[in-house]
Formats: sequence, structure tokens, C-alpha cells
Amino acid sequence: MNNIKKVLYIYSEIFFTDRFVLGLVIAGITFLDFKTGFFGVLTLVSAYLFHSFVFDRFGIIEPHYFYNPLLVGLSIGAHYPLTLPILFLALLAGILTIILTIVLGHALRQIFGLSALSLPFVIVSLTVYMILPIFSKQMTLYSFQPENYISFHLPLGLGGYFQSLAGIFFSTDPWAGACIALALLYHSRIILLLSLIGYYSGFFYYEFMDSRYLTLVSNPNLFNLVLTAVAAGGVYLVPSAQTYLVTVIISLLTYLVLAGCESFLGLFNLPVLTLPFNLVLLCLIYYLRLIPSKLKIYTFHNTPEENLDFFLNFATRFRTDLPSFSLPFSGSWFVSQAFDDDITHKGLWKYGVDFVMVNDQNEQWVGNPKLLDSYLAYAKPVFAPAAGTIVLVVNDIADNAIGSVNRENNWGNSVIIYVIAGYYIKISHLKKGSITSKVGAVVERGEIIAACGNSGYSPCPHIHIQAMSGLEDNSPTLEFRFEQAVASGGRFYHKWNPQKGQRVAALVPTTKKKKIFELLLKDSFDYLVSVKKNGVQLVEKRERIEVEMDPSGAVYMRNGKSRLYFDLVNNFFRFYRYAGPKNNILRYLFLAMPSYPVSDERIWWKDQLPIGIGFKVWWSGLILFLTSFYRNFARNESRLSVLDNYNFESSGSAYLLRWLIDSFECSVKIHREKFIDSIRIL
Amino acid sequence: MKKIYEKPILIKQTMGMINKFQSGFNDQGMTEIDGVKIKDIVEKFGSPVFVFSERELRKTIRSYVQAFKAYYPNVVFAWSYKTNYLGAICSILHSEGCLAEVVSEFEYQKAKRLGVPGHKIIFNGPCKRSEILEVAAADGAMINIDHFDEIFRLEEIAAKRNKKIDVGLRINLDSGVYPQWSRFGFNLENGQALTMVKRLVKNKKLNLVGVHCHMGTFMLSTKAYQISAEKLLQFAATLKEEYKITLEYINLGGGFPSRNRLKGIYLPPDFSVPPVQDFAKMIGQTLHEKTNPHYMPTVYFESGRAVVDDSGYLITSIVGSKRLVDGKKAYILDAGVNLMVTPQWYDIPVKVGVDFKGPVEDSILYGPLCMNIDVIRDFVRLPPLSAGTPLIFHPVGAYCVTFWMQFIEYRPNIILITENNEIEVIRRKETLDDVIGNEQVPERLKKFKL
Repeated sequence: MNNIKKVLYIYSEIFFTDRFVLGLVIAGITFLDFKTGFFGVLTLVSAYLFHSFVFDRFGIIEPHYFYNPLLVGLSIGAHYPLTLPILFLALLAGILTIILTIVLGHALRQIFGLSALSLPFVIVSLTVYMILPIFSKQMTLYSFQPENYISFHLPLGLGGYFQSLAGIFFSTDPWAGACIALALLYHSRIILLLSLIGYYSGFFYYEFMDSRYLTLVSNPNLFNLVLTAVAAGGVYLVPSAQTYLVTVIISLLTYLVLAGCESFLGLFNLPVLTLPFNLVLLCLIYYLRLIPSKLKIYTFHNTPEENLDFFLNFATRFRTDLPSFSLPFSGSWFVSQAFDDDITHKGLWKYGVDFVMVNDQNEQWVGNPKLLDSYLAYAKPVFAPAAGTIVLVVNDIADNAIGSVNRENNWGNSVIIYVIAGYYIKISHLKKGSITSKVGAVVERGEIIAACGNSGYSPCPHIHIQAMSGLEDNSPTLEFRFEQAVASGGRFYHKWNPQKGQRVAALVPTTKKKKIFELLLKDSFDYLVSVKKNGVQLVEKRERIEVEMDPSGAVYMRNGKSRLYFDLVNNFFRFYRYAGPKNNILRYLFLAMPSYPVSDERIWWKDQLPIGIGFKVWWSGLILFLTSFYRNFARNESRLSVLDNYNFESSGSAYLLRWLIDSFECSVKIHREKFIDSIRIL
Repeated sequence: MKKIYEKPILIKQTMGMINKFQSGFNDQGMTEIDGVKIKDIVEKFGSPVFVFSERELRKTIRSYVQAFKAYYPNVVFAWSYKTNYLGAICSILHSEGCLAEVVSEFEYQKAKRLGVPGHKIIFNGPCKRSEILEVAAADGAMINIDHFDEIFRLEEIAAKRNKKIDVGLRINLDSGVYPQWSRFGFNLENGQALTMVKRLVKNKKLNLVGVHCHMGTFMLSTKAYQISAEKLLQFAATLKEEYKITLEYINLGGGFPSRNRLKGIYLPPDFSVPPVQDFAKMIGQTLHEKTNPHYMPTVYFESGRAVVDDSGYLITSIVGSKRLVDGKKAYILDAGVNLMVTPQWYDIPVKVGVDFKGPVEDSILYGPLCMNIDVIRDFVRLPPLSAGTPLIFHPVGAYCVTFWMQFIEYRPNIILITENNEIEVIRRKETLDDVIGNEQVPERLKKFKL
């Protein structure tokens, strides 16, 4: 059964996705003309047998290797009769294609970091068309000239659109194309929209240019525009209004390339197949690799909707656009100056933060306020906020007496760390002689590196910390966040924007609870799931969750076909990605506990669920489609709070624009050995 | 007003002898505590009366927590119940985040009765019988094992419940303190502790999660704690390497000193007692050196005296005075060793409850008991005081209200001055019913004819 699914995925791979229904529809369409479908299967089988024989891997089917041979078979079957010589030629062509797929794929990857797309199919099919006249003088050859195009007229040019969809699979039947369009509607509305953008860009350009080019809108080769639009807008870029605009432009470019290929290959009576699409897309992918773009996709999901959901959710939750590091002290301190503040944090030095230590009455000293030693912050240890190398140490400037400042060396004793991520952190006004490491030393996050002092432009002891892009005094400061901070009121922030006047401490780690969240490969948990509605039990069954690792090294929990990716970094446990069917208990696990700061403190925090998790499954696809136009269309907000050592509760709300659509409440109990003891969702 | 006649006295003037710590007595009496007048307290609640300051208590525990956390984030304080288990005092400390440290069935039950959840109780002590161990195991309390028979008892309980129990081991070691408290726990240096660990690992019924070492009281040097912390963390590293045990906690016990005046120490407390900042710094540094950012076990401190002593006052009144045969002035107070056991080891500072002027003379303070041992201060310089004058002993927050006797006198009111300077009674004065309440006089003895 699994293998049958894999075979159907080969058919759906043409649309860059593994989907059973889509594959089934496409396979059906190839068999509308039985000969076409038959040749398709023939080349598939020959390619598979050869590949498995050579690599001794019978029983393993990887869809993306085999769609090229499939296309070759379809292209032969569509235009040539079923005779023995052609059958044999098809078998050889299949084998040639699989070899070329692997070879070309490898070469392109090694040299350019690209994949082969459907170039092997184009090369082999064109070769077959070229050599057929040599082998069969009696055969009437199929003509690929425009005069042979059959056009169907439907309103709004839809006839041409459906034909172009069908044309991907060598069919000219527009109703087959309509089926594909319906399948696309079911699978992903964004892909459907992109296919329309692709086709109609060409359509309107043609109308606009009032061209004498004889290929009318019934040119089935326009499927190249459809494929390019779907790939560019839905696979390699994040869906958004800008992306749709970019897709229009790329479709127009593809049209030009298409016209060029048609003119050139037409001279030899050869079809363009998917050559324009391959050329344009390969250029685009390589181009994207060279330029930094906020629209690039790095983690690929099955549909553009899922791509968008993951992209938006990850960016919002984890703010990967800003540098972040730990608080440089232990215990609870007070922010006396934050970003863009009155006293000294202005202009180039906007993004600096000052910390002092205060007692209950918000006084910085105990005893005589005129003495340096009375100040609580003085001589307290300063810790490395991130792992890195020490690049600057100033350690010999005297600490000022209270009330006087040093304007000559206004940074005072300082240490600058070059962080692995590629920026610098500077901590200043340190105590004379307290910096223990030398320039060049490598420090770990959390190591003691100095002590708080009162040197430089500092009237009373405080820690100043800032992030910079360079080493020099006038390097601009970078905006940053503090990680794992608990502010006054017990609110935990994974990435904290420091505010003046707030008390803050770093999240206190725990050894006991950490063991619960250190999930290892091969761990498995059995749970009893029961669904009740109005007190009546609907479903009760046993489910098993297992921890596995994917080829990129990322770990996830698996139940059935769904995967819930997680990690535990710096005492912050998070579920960060969900892949697979949504009617699964892992979805509820993500819903109830999107993140957990691993500590024994009584804290609360906020988090955001992806749209696919926080909204009802049946319409999250539509919501994501609309979100591609307006990013703030949908919003999920969760509030989680720790009740005691093992119990916490979470509540969430889902909003469309201003309106509250849905809400839920959960109480969760974690368990020493079983990870979760119970989750109750209302 | 009629002046009371005082027999003239002769004070020997010792010229040339420089007294570093003020020759006279501060002639400003202590007329109020936390803004509440002493005479109002005595009028309303009688004398003697214990007075606790909530403000002082909260301030002290917060300064301790803050001082230690600045060096090592994962520090938790537990309140040592035996120092003062008044419900109100314990509740204040629990509200500041302290766990409960108990050493007996009674203290354990008291903590539970107050509302402390089982897994927030540290259960130490040499006398833990099976019944209370069963309860503690079921509650998930942090039990620190003192001796081998306790291991037997716990293993039996684990077998009965068919569930492993998390335990800690109490360890004694040489931290440079004399005398070494080797009667508690298992010795580290002679390998006893490691043998016990092997036993726990082998039998698989008890799960070792922590170690506990309380090595002294009223420690005047930070070095002992540093050595203790170092040795315990070294032990933890050995356990990790050889037995794959990752300890969740290291309990360094208590023993921090207060500003009381220990007998035999020449310097007064201001000079001899290191402030909490020093302890925090030295211990914190050692902790940091011996742990790393990936492994920061929870460090528990079970302080008692250091946290509560300063917030406790005892107001007592002069009942009478006499002049002893050797010329010394003696005062009889209504509070004695029945309420303050610690004068055995400490010269508790005393202040006069009214303003006064004039010369001072050597005096001795006796309590109300008709026992020769009832001496609170055998040497203190006081001016002539009349009966009814209040005297204030401070600090008496530690041990006095637990280690006291119901002997001869009723035990007095205990009041708490809140942060708003209001007064709340937290233990009322005993009545006859309280004292004889548990007595059961046999019927046959009740009818006697005199």
C-alpha cells in the first residue's frame, strides 16, 4: 500500500508535492489516452528495474528520482504509435533518463547547489524526437508546429488555461485540465492562484503586445508559465502580495524565454517541452541563493500554505532577525536605562542597557550612600552573555568615588566579546582588575568574566551592555533581545525587550525538570486519548508517540504520519514545527504546550500558535490563503502559566482581524518519566 | 514628685585604661520597637512579652536571597523550623519563598498543617520513625538519610509501595571546623558515604538525588562553607562519572551567625560576625568554580538563627532590686532562663525601656525562677532602675520561642508588629487550662482531705 502511494507521488511530484489525491488525478489523466499512460508506466518500470538492479535496492521508491522517466514515457506515448521498435526505444529512454537524472542532479548540486528539475526529461525527450526520423523512415512524424494546435473556447480564456494544465501531461483535453484545477483547489489554493497568475500573465501580455506571434492563447506550451509561477511563488518564496507581483514578472520573463525556445526549436521541428521552465527556474533559484531576501524559503513543507504558516510563526515567535543573548548577571537586577533613553543611550549608542541592583525600597545602597562599598551592585560578578572570543580588555581604570565621573575614559574598564553569530558585545564600567580573561580567550555562555564596578562615565555602580557590528568606539549599536528573562510579575520572555524601570532576572535552571524535557531518540510514550462532547464519550483509543530524527538532524515526535519538531536550547523547550495531517494527537500537544521554560519558578508567558494549529483544521487552509495577502489577517495568542511543579495551564484565543473566532483552555500535567501525565482541553 | 531614695555608690575610676567599646551606657533608652511604644505594648499585653518585627524579618530574608542569587542563580532557602516554629513566623518566611526544613514527626506535621506541600519539605534529623517516613515518602518530601537503619526502613517502604523513593544522603566531612559534627550522617573521608551510594545503586529501591551537609552553628568564618561546598561538588562529580547519578541538589545546611554576642569572643558582633554579603561572595564563588552552565544543581541553605534572630525582641520588666553582699546591684526580672535558654552561650544585649541619665554601675540580672541557675546576664552596666521599668533583650528571635520551658511561670504573649506598624497576637499567653490541659489526675487521688 505504501508503495502504491509512493508511485502516485511520482505523478504529483511534477507539482513539487507528495499528495495522494493529486497524484491519483494526474495518473488518471495520463490514462485518458491509454497509449500515453501506458508508455509512462513503461518507462517508469524500466527506470526502476535498472536503478534497483544497479544499486541493489529493490523495494525502495524515491518519487523525485522517477518523475523524469515518467515524463519521458508520456512524451513518447503522446505522439508516437505503439509499435515494437518504439516500445523498445521507450524502455531504453527510461533507463537513459534515470542515469541522466542522477548524474546531472549530482553535477548540478556539486557545482551550483542546484537540482536537475526536469532537465533530464527535456534532454532525453528531445534526443528521442531527433533520432526517431533516423530509425523509422516510414513513420509519419508528429509535427510540433503551431498550426496543429487545437483550441477550445471558454469564457475568460479558461479554455486555454485548462488546456495548459492538461498539456503538462501531454493531454489536450481541457476537461482533464479542469480536473487538475479542481485537484489543485483541493490541495492548495495558493498553488491554484499561482497557476492562474502564471497563465494569465502570458495571456494579458499577449493581448497587450498585440503580437503577430501566431501562437494564440491556446498554445499548450504556456504550461511552462504555470509551472514557473507555481515553483517561484509557492515553493521557493514565501507567499505574499510582493511574491505574487514577483511571480507576474517571472511569468512574463518565462514567456519571453518560451517564445525564444519555440522559435529556435521550431526550426528543427522539436517541441519546447519544459525547457523554458527549467531555464528560468534554475536561474531564479541560483539568483535567490546569492541575494539576501526576506521572502526566501529555507524549510520546505508540502504546500505553500504550510510554508507561509511556518515562516510567519517561526519569525514571530523566535525573532531570529535580532541578535539575542543572556543577561550578564545572576539574581534580580533593575533596568536603569534602556534603548533610546534620556541620559546617554542616544544616536549611535541607542541600543545600550544599564542595570543596577536595588533593595525592596528601590535604593541602590545599604548603609552609607556616599561609600562605594555600600552599593549593592558593586563587585557583583558579571557573566558572559554568549559564547565567543574576547577581543578587547581594558582593566586598569580606577573606580570612581560616588558622585564623580571619569570623562576621559568614559567606557571605563570594558570587555568586548566577539560572538560566534557574527557581532560584538561590549560590557563596560567594570571594576578595576576584575576581568579575569585575556584577549583571545574563548569564553562559554555563563562564565564569570568580570565584576561590576564604577569606572568611566559612571556616577554609581552599574553594568552597561550593548551589541555592536564592529569593534571601534563609534561602531553603531545593534538592537538586540535578552534570552530567557523573567521580569517583574513573574512574566517569562523568551526574547525580552528591556524596559526601563523593570526588575529582571535570568530564568533559573533546574536539574530535576530538565530530565523530563531531555527527550532522546527511541524514547516512546503510550497515551490514552479520549474525546468527550457534552460529557458523552465519543472516542477512546491508545496512541503511541515516538522520538525520531530526520535526515537533517532535527528531532521530532512522530505519531502516524504527523511529525512535531522540538528542541531544548538554553533551558527553553519548544515545539517549532508541525508537519503532516492535522487530525492527530500531536496537534493537541502543540496546542496545549507550544513552549516550556524549564525551571521550577512560578512564571507565566505568552506564545503564538501557527494558524494550522490554532484555528480549526477545515478552514485553516483558506485562512492561510487570505493571510498571504495581509499578514495580520489571522492571529493566535496563547497564555501559559505554571501552577506548581508539574501542573500548568494554558489558554488561547484565535482572532481574524479584530474578531475573536475561537478560544480554548487546557490544563496540563507533566510527568517524571512519561513526559506528559495528562492534558485536558476544553 | 517624691524621689525614691537610692543609697549612694562608689565607682572606682580607672584612668589610663582605654575602653574601646564605650565606657558608659548609651543614655538613650529604647522606647519603641518599629514605631510602637514599649509602654503601650506592656500596658496591653502585659510583661514579659515577645515582640517580632515582620518588616525586619522580611528585610533580612530578602537580603539573604538577593546576596546569594547575585553569585549563583539556583539558590533556595529553607526555613529551619526548630529555630522558630511559630505559625505566623513560618508563614511569613514561606510567603517569601522559603521551603520548610523539619527534623521530626511533630515539625513535619506542623509544616503540613500550615499548608506547606509535601515536596517543599526538607526532612532531616536522626530520629525518623517508619510511620512518618511513610508519610514523607508518599508526599515526595526531600528526605536526607542520617544512618543505615533509616535506609532499611525506607527500602521497606519503597518495596511496600512498589515505587522508588527519591532520597538524599547526609554527609559529614572535615571542613576545618572544630568540633567536627561526626555524629550526623555518613562520613565522606573514610568512604562511608560512597559505600552507602553503592548500596543504594545496587538495591535499586531508593533514588539518590541530593547530598546534605550541615557542619556547624554560628560559623564565624566563610572558609568552612567553601570547603564543604567544594568537597560535596567533587563527590557529585565522582557520582556522575562512576555511577551515572546526576544529583539534583546540594544542601549546605545552615549555621550562619547573627548579631548576637557569643561568650568567649573578644570582639563585639559588629567586628567578629562576617556580614551575609561575605558568605554569599565566598560561597557563591566556590559554587561557580565547581559547577558549569550545563550543570547547576539547586543549592539549599537551611538558615535559622541568621534570618530570625534580629527580628525578635523580649520585653521584660523589673520586679524588684536588691544589693548583693559584694556590693553589686541585682535586678529581678519577670523573664528568665525559662524564656531564654541561650544566655548559657550568649551575652544577649539588653536595653533600658525608658530614657535615663546619670552614671551606670555593674549589675546582675536574675530571672523569676526560684533556682540558682536563673541568671540572664551576670555583668551589665545599668543606671539605677526602679521596679516596673521595662528592659528589652534583643536579638532573641532564634530558639527562644521553641527551646523554652513551661516552668514555674506561664509562657507569655507573643505579638507581631506588621509592616503597617499594627500589632497582631500570634501566640496568646498561657492560662492554667493550657498548662494542666493534658494532665489526667486519677479519680482516687482527687478527693483528699487536708
